[in-house]
Amino acid sequence: MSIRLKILSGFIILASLLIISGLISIYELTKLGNSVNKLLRDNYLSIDYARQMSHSLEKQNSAILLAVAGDKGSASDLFGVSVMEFEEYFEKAATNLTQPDEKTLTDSISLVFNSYRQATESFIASSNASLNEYITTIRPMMETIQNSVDSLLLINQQALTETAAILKNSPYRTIMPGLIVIITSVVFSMLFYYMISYYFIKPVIGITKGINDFIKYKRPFEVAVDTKDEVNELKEAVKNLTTLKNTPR
Amino acid sequence: MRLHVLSRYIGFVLLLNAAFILFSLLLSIHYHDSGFYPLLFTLLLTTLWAVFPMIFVPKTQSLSNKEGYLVVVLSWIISCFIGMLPLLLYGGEFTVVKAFFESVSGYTTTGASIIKDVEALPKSLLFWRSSMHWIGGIGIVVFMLVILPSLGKAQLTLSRMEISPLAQENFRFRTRKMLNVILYVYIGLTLCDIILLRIFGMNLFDAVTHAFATIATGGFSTKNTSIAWFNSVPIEMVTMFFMFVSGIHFGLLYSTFTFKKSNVFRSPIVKYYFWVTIAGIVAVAINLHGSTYDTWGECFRFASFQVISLSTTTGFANADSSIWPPLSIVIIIFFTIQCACAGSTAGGLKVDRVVIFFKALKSQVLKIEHPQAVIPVRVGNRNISDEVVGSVTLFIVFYILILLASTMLLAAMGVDLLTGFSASVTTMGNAGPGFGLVGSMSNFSTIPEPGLVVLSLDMLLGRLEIFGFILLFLVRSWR
Repeated sequence: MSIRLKILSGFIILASLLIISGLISIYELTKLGNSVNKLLRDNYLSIDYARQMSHSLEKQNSAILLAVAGDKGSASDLFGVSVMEFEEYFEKAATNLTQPDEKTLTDSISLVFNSYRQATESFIASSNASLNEYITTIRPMMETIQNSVDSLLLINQQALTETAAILKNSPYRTIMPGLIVIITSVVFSMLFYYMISYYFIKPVIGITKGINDFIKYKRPFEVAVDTKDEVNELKEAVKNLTTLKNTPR
Repeated sequence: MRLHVLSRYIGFVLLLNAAFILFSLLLSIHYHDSGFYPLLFTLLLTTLWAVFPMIFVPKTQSLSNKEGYLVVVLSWIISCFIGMLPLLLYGGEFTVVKAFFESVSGYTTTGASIIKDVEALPKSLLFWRSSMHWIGGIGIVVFMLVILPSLGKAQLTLSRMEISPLAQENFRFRTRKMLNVILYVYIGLTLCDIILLRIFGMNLFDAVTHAFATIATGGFSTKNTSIAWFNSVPIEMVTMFFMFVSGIHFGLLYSTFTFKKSNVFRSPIVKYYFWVTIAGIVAVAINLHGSTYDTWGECFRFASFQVISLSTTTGFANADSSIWPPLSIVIIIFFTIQCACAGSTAGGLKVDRVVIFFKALKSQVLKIEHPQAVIPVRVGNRNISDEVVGSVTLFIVFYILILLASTMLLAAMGVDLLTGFSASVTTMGNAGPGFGLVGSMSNFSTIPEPGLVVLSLDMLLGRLEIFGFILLFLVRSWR
């Protein structure tokens, strides 16, 4: 292999190291950015939906109390609007699942809410809606839904905290390829320098010394070169020249 | 010292590692797991590093003894650094020190792990962990020597440096043949183990990874509860058999398979290894009966597995031996120090040295009784030279001193005595699990990071049989 090719290979390896690390770091950073962004956005939306559902439940509670107080018309209107509102946010929450437990919670809300809705509608419509019936029948169902909505809110808040922790630790993974390559590139550069020094600079110095010794002291030109490249050819050429010089005309 | 020549030979070792990283990478593609980029990065880095010296350094067929030693020691150390890269880049529980510890544990076939949840790791990285065992089990350099046919005189020098001097006694073959014998036996045993594990119900992935760890006497499992996860007596029996066989000198195994005269049934070392293991199993089983397990069946099942696992330095577990009675713990610690035969994949002090030590002790006592008598130290029909006896004694003393130093260092870091001592014993012996906080069903994650560095050094010292490793740090050896 020629010197040019050897040195070129060394530089290609060095460049490859840098390119590989750069590409992997860019990939990791992009992946990290995307996944964190998605996680944060989805969690934030789930929290918002859960808050809106909780708000709707409060309105439904007010509607029931209006019904107990005897204002059936306002109670029915308020209940209808708040149920639609609840269902709209519930739909959105059910299609934006980010945590494994969310599915269980949305299933449980869906199941209880249908019974609760039917019971509350007939409660508001009935002529003898009493506070006692509200406490014994409607309120427990509402509390179950409220608890599930609260849990939904809580697990998404926790997920947000966990995502923040991932954000804190993940740059480590992104930085690591770069760090490894910096260290290996430094070691590699030292080895590259050593190789150039050993295989090219040292023999050239040896050849120069050999020529000087030949000129000054008429010492025979004996220089050892391990490689079979241009340096070896140079040595052979100089040897031939010195042999030619020594040959009597 | 010709650093450039060393770099060329180490390059070959790196290429071998790169081949196994490539297998892991293909597995990652197959399973679509998250080990892909860490493995790809490591593969490219390793290949570039391996190829570079080959571009510059011309073929050199001769190596001095010093150079041979350094090629072997540096190959192990650099492989450990390469091995940690996929784990480090994967992240998770791995910090720099923890990834290095896991990698050293893999290559030295120790099997001690810092991972709390092994099953959470991608399959490609689990395969890479087992591959480190398999490469390290046979000896990284031996592997390279068999694969590369034309290393000339360097082959002899390197094999002499890599294979334990005690092990060479039982290889009655020329260098090339000896290396082939090691590889044939190694691959043959691995294939047999894979087939039998498959027959008894393991899936192919688990069978391959567990066979790699068994034959290399490593101990990395793909399950958090090791072999106990499978809860299968046939799998435990197969694993026990192969652990025990892998603890026997490979040259003797080859001679036995090829019906040669010098076989395992005639070797006094193997006889001692067999009977002392049986005695250990019986003693532990009796000790366990009534106190830990009610039936004799359970006692023998767990005692035999744990004793064989730790005496062969494998480190698989089918029970939590750290909660066993003190006598059983002491017996197992003895086996973790003594370990299996030279010429096998096992680490530690080795049965051969223990036998020579006791024979020398007996000879010394007889000399006191009969001062004029010439009483040679004999193992079987072979006279052991004073030089060998001296080096064995020196090795044992050095081994114990290092154990004490390591225990002291761990104690200074706040690790309790049982944990510190057993962790030192188990890492020096390349066994894996210890007692206390590093028991069979536990891991090394509770050891502080400086402690993990100490234990990593213990593993390398144990694997490289102390003197080779020390040579690296003598400035004189670099001249």
